[in-house]
Amino acid sequence: MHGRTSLPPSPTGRAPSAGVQARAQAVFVTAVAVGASTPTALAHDTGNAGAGFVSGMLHPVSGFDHIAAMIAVGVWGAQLGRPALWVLPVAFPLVMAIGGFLGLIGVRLPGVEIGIALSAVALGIMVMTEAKPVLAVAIAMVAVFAVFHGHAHGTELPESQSAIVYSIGFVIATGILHLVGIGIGTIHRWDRGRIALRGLGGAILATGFVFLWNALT
Amino acid sequence: MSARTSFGMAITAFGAILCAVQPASAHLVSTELGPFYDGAAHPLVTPDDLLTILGLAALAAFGGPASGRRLLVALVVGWSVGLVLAFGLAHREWQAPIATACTLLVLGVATLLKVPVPTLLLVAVGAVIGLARGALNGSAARMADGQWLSIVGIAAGVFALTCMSAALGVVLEKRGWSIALRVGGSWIAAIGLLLLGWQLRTMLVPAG
Repeated sequence: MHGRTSLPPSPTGRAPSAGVQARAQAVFVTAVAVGASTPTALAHDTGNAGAGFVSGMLHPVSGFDHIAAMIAVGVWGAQLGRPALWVLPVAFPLVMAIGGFLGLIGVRLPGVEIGIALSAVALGIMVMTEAKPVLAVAIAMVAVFAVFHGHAHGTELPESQSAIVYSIGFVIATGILHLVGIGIGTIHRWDRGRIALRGLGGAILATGFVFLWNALT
Repeated sequence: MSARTSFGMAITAFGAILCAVQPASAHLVSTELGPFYDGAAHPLVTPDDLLTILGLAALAAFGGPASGRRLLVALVVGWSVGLVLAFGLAHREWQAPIATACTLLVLGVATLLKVPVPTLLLVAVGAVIGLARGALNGSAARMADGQWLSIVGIAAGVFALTCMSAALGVVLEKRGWSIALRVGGSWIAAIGLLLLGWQLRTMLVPAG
């Protein structure tokens, strides 16, 4: 943290504390590290994932399409502020579990990969434009996309000796990704942070188009 | 959600516990510290028990310290009765994965929605859940080592875990952090739903 320069004050005129800046930077570095260390698989189990907590933890981060969407949900929630800040990350895992449930019991859902790719496109647009729809619309949008993500996971979950331990790891990893997104979104209080978040939204949008292209071809 | 609706949901989940019991291989995690500590560690290292207690404690926390204290008594007493009965009567270890999943789902959704559960209902639900979980634990202890100290340890572990989690929940609630409890509830509900799907898959989806 040596040589740290003070970031511009927030729009309210109140300068963020050093602690807030340090936490935001730490979260950002962690998020970058997580992103950089993630393989570019597309939401498919690696095949060697066995039973257990670690396997469950690894599954949500096994595909960048999922990571991008889940982090985008957290970032968008941070942009929207309360109550969306916590409502969106709460809604996403629960509805994703519904999608996972459908996938587990064998209910077919058409266009899952397209839906996942579209989620990155749509959420990227929301973050890039700092869109602020009515809360119900934001929830509905996140929920619809969460079903696709959950279904993809549900159909690919490996046979496990301990379903509950796997599920715990899976849900915790999803929640952590949202928290990372919210942590990144805390830079929204600064002007430069807003610009950075818009850029992040643009990057998510671009990757979404790549996923969409791959899903369609 | 009315008290009658929540009561109906609870009765459905607990009815499933009684109907969906099935045999399983005996297990009790060894701490290498003796049967008492093996039992005391059991609620901590058994996700089914841990999440159930956390869900109940969060619901109780919304009702304040008095609600937490009454849940503590009801849950531990119910759990202890179930332990003793199953320890004395069981001839095999029981498990109820579908009922466990339904219980977690109901508790998680109730916590997420911050359903105002009347204290009397919470006590009744806690006692019934405690009885059922205690019976499952008691059968496991009977098959694992057959020592009374194990079930004494389990009861002590349930007491300590419920006490601490309810107290933490009350503190979070009083300090305006009830959102943390609700987020936890959504996670418990999601885990319950995935667990339910996982169990149903073995019945609905052909292997391979």
